[in-house]
Amino acid sequence: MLNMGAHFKLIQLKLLWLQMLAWGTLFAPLCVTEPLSAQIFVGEARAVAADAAGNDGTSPHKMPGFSISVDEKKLNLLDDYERYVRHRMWEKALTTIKELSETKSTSPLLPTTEGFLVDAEDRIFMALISLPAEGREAFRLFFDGKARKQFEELPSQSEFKTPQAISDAKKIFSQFFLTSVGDDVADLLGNDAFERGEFTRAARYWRLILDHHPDTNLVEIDINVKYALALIRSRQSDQAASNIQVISQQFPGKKITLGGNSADPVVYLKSLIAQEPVKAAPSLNLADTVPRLISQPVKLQQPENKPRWKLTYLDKTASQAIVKSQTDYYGRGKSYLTFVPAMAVDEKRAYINFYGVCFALDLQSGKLVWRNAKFTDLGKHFSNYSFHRSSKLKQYHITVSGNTLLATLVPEKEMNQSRAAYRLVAYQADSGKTLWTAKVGTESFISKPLVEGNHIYVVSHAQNNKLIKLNSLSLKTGQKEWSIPLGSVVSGNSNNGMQIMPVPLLQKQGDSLFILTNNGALFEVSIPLKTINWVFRYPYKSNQTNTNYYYYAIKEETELHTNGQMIRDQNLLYFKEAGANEVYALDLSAKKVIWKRPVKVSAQIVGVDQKNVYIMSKELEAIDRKSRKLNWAVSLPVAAGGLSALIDPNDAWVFTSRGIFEISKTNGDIVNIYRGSDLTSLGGAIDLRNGLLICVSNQAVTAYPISTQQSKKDVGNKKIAPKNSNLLNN
Amino acid sequence: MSNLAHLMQRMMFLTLIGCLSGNTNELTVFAAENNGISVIGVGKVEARPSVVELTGLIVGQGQLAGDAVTKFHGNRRRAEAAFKNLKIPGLEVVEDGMSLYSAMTASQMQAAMRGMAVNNTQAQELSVSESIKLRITGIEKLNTQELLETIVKIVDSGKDAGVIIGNKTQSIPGVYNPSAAKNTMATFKVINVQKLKEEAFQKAIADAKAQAEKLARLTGVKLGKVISINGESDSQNNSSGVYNPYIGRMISANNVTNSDEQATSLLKAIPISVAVRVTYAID
Repeated sequence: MLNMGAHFKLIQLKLLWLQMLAWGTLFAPLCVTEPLSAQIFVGEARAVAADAAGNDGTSPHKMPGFSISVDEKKLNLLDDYERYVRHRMWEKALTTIKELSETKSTSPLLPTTEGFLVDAEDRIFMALISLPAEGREAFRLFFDGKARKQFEELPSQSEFKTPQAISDAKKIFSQFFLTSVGDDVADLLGNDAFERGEFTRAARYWRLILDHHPDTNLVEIDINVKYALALIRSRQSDQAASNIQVISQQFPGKKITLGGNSADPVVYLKSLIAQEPVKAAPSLNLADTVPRLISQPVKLQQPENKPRWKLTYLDKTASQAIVKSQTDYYGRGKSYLTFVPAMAVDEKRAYINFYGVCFALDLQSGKLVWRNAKFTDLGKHFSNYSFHRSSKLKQYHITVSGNTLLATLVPEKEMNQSRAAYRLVAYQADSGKTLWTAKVGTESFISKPLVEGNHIYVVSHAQNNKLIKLNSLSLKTGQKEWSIPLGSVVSGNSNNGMQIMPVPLLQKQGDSLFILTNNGALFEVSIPLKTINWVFRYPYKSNQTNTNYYYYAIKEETELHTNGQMIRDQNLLYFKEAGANEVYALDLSAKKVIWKRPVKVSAQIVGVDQKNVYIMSKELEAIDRKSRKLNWAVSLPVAAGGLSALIDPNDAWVFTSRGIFEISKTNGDIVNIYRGSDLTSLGGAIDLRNGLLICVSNQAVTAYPISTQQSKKDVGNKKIAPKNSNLLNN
Repeated sequence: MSNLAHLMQRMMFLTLIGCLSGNTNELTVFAAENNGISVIGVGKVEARPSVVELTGLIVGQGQLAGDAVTKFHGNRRRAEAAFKNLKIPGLEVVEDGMSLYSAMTASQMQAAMRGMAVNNTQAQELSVSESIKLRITGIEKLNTQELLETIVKIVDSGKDAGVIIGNKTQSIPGVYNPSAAKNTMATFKVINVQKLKEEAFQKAIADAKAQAEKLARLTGVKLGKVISINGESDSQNNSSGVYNPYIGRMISANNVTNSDEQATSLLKAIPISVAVRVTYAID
């Protein structure tokens, strides 16, 4: 029993404890600032990563824009598996992953958390190898026996040739890589891929062994050397060099047996790197408006205003008809006045596609070699309502390969059809004779055709259908070889109610074909396998409301006919879509966004060098490749389409309404202005070929000679990537 | 009788005054009823502009504020260098105030005017802009051809350097924009207006005296001392030239009426005129 005083004291003590507890709780965070700071940093880093991915937690297949179907059942199973792994429910997790890898997917792609959709099998494999150590132990316990049994049934290395054996090995690899036979089967598949010349794939198998089987029974130095060899053969010199350094540090002085001889692997691999030629730029079709790096400084010959030749293709009738169509409700919103036609150039001629009127010019004299229709006939089409309904200014493409010229256009006979499809027509480049017109059902061709060897790659869609397809056609006959569906686009509406399809851009790199849809998706397609390797998705803001009132302002992107563009430098891809207001830098090997930043919707990527990404609208902007900061910008009197720039070692060259501007790459200062002879034009595209600076404006094609020293050095393909840089654009 | 004659004489005098004051272009004069003879003397001096002024706007726009600032600094530096490189004697670039704003695009403005939803307001670009005045002094020494060539050089290099020359403002589609209809590039100015006004006043006083003497002689009275003077300058209203609302607005904004300069959009002699009302006593 306590007396009253004792009770009082006890209550006081309790209160004191409570107060101490409260103060302690209040001040506790102040004593642990470092861990909290770290947490804050991690939080910020995550926020930045999420921001960079641009998905805000939205699954890539659910982002607004381009639509790609995925196997929802598999996706749910994958979610279940990842949840079980988080909760360390190994039995359930392993049952789920088994079901995932054994059932066939209804769709070839599954989403990742980084905004990508990848091959469903790869995605499941990635989920499998990301198991923590405890999960791996459980995996081996569950599946080691079964895997070993299946592996023993495989033929030996010497007999490992049949497709069935390879298929079985791949199955074991994808399902049981984490078991004790995973490294063996990966090595088998690596050897097989290397022998078949699939060096990137071989490197991947050996890399997986090094990363996920530290206790491998294989000879580690052999795997390392094979991995480095595959990297060298696949021309990934930087990664190969770092792997050679790892070999020299981990296995100093060790020898390997090569062709029966003992050799120092480091010396041997280094000698191979030195022998391996710098990856050359692929054959470049110069019809596009994208500049390439030029190895030598460009210097215009004097007198500056005198061109080698000039050809005005816009005749009076067409000119008057275009001006008149601007006051027409249906023609006004298309900005015909500022349209600069697409050009293709080869060694002898320049080719232009002007609303379907294709013509060739002799590069040396500027004389008209041939044309497929009369310029004067365009005038009467311009006064026709149906012409305006079907004319889509971004779909008039032209490209040349050997003696074949390819153009996408509405044939003259169909110009007055209100729902005319865009045909792919092949001409003889030297004579203009029509070779064939591609007939792929009722398909309308929307992308610029890309020619590689005897194949044409081009994207099309059926009329009134939003599903786009990649087609491979024969260059000789125009017959379809194969096609794969890519997905459905979100199309816009023109002011006359017609569907406006996005115009995808194609680029080929080795066996891969990149497709920028200009609709919120970037594809990598494997040409040999005819499958989609992966898709990168990002939000596409489509405006489907019909706001095309007569008095509505013509947007700058319409005035400048801004196109989407992508430029690849080794593993980095920079791209900006038409209609989008962001530039992305994407690491293709790590499949993640390095950075993205807002730019004007009207801006188009026009070049990349070692330091900057150059984008152009009514100003030329240099964005730092590393920090994504704007290094400089210069306002230019750009007034028409054909956005392009030539990037030489010191300067950038732009053809504007006030002449050709030479701009310093250091700070954007205007070094020189060459007014030229196309003074009444609005400016346009610029290109360099055979010692000629070729400028295509909204009314003429003009060629200016560059200095003799330069022209001699630039014989042939004028745009040469610098050494050690695989700077490609097409 | 003498009173009647005096009255008659007075009536005749007033009638004469009435007749004279009716012809205001020739003689603006009347006599005060009791305080002597009041006249308005006008003095006018014509001066050829010695300064030409062009307005320019340097703008940097970007969705990121940092971009807008980088662009602005770059454009400003290039503009300064471009004008400096022209090496035109007497050319100076005068800063006329910087502003920072976020503006709607033309499409957004149009939508707002039509009572429609304005989309993408978050994506509005930030603009950093600075008005500049390009001022050449001593143009009276140049002939018209030389002056024209000089102005064209400035306009050209300004346009090449990305400077918006003149008073042109952004157009809103469907809305008449007078600045787009006629973009006044150059304003010509007379300087030392106060000194010129002094000359004009001297002329006005002399004119007033001449008028008063003439009246006195006609009426047979003797001109006395000056009783009062009321001087006013109407040079601004009388300056000849095409009426230009922009120059008017600019003048009123800059309070030019009290300045030592006078502007016109036409290259020709500008009249500086003043008027004084002088009352002389009758001895």
